[in-house]
Amino acid sequence: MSAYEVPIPIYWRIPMSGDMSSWRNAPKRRGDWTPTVPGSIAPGLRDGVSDGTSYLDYMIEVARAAERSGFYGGLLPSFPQTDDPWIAASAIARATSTFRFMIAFQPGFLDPVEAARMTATLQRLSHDRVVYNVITGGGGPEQRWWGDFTAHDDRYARTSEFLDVLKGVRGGERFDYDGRFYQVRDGGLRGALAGTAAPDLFFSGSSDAAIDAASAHADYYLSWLEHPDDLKRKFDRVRARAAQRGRTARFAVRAHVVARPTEEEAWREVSLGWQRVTPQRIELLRNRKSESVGAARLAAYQPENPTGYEDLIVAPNIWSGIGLLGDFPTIGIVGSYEQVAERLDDLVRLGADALILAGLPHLEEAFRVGEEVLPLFRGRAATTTSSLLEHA
Amino acid sequence: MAIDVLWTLPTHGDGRGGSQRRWNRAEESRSVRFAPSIRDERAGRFTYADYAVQVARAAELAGFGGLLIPYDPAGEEGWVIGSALARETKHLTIVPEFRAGFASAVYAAKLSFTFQRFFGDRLGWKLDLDGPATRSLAERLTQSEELLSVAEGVWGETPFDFNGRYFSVEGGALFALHAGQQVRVAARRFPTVYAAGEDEERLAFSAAHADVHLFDAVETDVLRELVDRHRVLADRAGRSVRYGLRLSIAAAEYESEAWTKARRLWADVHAGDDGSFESRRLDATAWRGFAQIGHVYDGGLIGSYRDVTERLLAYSDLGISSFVLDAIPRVEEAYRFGEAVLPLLARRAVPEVV
Repeated sequence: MSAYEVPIPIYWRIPMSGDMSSWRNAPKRRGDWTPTVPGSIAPGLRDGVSDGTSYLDYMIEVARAAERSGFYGGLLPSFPQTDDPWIAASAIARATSTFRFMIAFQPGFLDPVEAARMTATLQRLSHDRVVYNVITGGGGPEQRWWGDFTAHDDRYARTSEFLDVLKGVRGGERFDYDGRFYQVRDGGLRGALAGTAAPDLFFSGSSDAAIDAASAHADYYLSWLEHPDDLKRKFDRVRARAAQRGRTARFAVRAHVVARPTEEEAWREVSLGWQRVTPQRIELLRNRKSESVGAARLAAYQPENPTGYEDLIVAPNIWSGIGLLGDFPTIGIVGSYEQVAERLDDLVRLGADALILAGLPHLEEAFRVGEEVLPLFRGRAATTTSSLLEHA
Repeated sequence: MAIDVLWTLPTHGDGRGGSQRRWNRAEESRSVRFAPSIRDERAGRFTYADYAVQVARAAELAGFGGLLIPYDPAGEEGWVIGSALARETKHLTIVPEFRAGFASAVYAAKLSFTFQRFFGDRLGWKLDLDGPATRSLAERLTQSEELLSVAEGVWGETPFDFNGRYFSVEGGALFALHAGQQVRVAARRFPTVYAAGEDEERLAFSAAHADVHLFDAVETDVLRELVDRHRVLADRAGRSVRYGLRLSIAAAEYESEAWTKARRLWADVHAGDDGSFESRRLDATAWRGFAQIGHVYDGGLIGSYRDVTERLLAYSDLGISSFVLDAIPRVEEAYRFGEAVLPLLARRAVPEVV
């Protein structure tokens, strides 16, 4: 297969801390992250009695919807307020058949040999459907809630060591390692756990330390959607650093999408959501203290005092206000099904080799995007035609 | 207090022979081949987890309260396979065994809290105090102690600070949204903590920290003495600890059938060495050597279901209220125990320790 024919895997996001019923309605009525009211879909209790279901059952429905409507798999993010992706993926594995689980985790929180064992068991029970999303952490107080006191750049050094060990023990050969953070003696995996397939590794982080670590370890360098010009510069940086190491970088982009039959309907959805974005909310979300370089880059797309949602349109169909509707550190794509597919093709033209999409609510939008947008997406075939961006 | 009986998950295969080389209930078993006309030899969609699920369901249907997943460096990892098994069962408690250093303490709490949310408070913790070899026993015990302090600390509703040798945390809280603010998801039960070991250090550790201490001594006198020693330590720590016993079992309807089964398993591994089989006999029912014939626990019982039940009841008179049992093959034997032993145990309540 030539590089031209390698397909672009498209993942859908699994909501790990509740779900909103739409872009317009703020409270997370699905799950128990907000107090339940009539109309909440918060599994667990029926008429005050335990009904044997849990939020996991909703997550599984989202995974099944994504699987059924053509997605390659799903991202299971991990934050302090989310449920845990390893436990979720292990259960989702039993409820799906082709859906890959991209498990987000911070290397510092797991012993690398134990993480390799967890991976091997999950590869075995799922027929090789594990994908890694290695995150090194936003830093600040949030990192200390997790019990991690390592400084920002040191965390990337630790991530590098962690991945050295994770990869080193997988095949089962004798493995010794003497690093700053990890020491391993005779650590190769044993028995049936030895020699399972290596999961694809998606690596995030915008700082120099992150890009350096990514260039050594990542199968896909993962970025939130940014303005196409910025994304291009970022990819160039990663590409150059990887080339110094003799590696070829591949890229993945995460984007939230509002896709509707017409562009007008898509912007109407956004404008309804915008009605509940108060100056106080903007202030609150901006003031989150974090060392994350990526989060700071995203904030720069938003004007200080927007007078309307239109002020946040940074390029055709690219809207920087999407994070304000649901507390995501990202900008998004808003448009008709054709436009959204065309913007996704633009990302491929910029160099994306994989995409991670999301929409609210995740269950219904998995069907919508899978049925309406993905069939219009041309993937690598789009690279032979010119992009709207080149004329913009 | 009712007697709680746990079954044991085989983490690297199962079968009816004493030699694991002859087992074929794992897809990596290569030594046993059936003719293609009997078994389709194409690479299938069957994995070992499918069999593990069958064991878990057998235990659940047969009436066991839980399933212990031993820490096995050469076998399936307990948190992952345990989560899959929990998804496939309704009320079975899942007890993975793990080492304190497998994750940061906050992350261990997080995995556990998610498990409790997803599966309705069905998680137990079995601490493995026997590894890794790179850490001394004292270091392992300190790390386990710190793990429990931090995990229990962040489990609650107030931000938790801890500064230990292995784990530290500042403002730690599960489901934290912003500093000092948590999402108010429903509270969950902290997992029941199991520990094991019969030396002074491990006994003292569990007296101070565990909910259930598991013994391995099958000789009644030895077990009585260990329980008494532990009670003194627990009293001193101002705690009440429940007691359990890990046993492998070879049982059948008639005593002679049980001994035939055990001798046959022994012959699979040590053909022609009947003498050493007999020398491992500890009393009329107790025997040691099961680890050599495919079982997880070395000490155990051989006898009729009635003999075995009576012995378990005798143990319960010493204060044992939990049994963790292993018998091969695990699916079939789970059903046999559910039919022949569990109903008799259920009628007996263990007297509360005063």
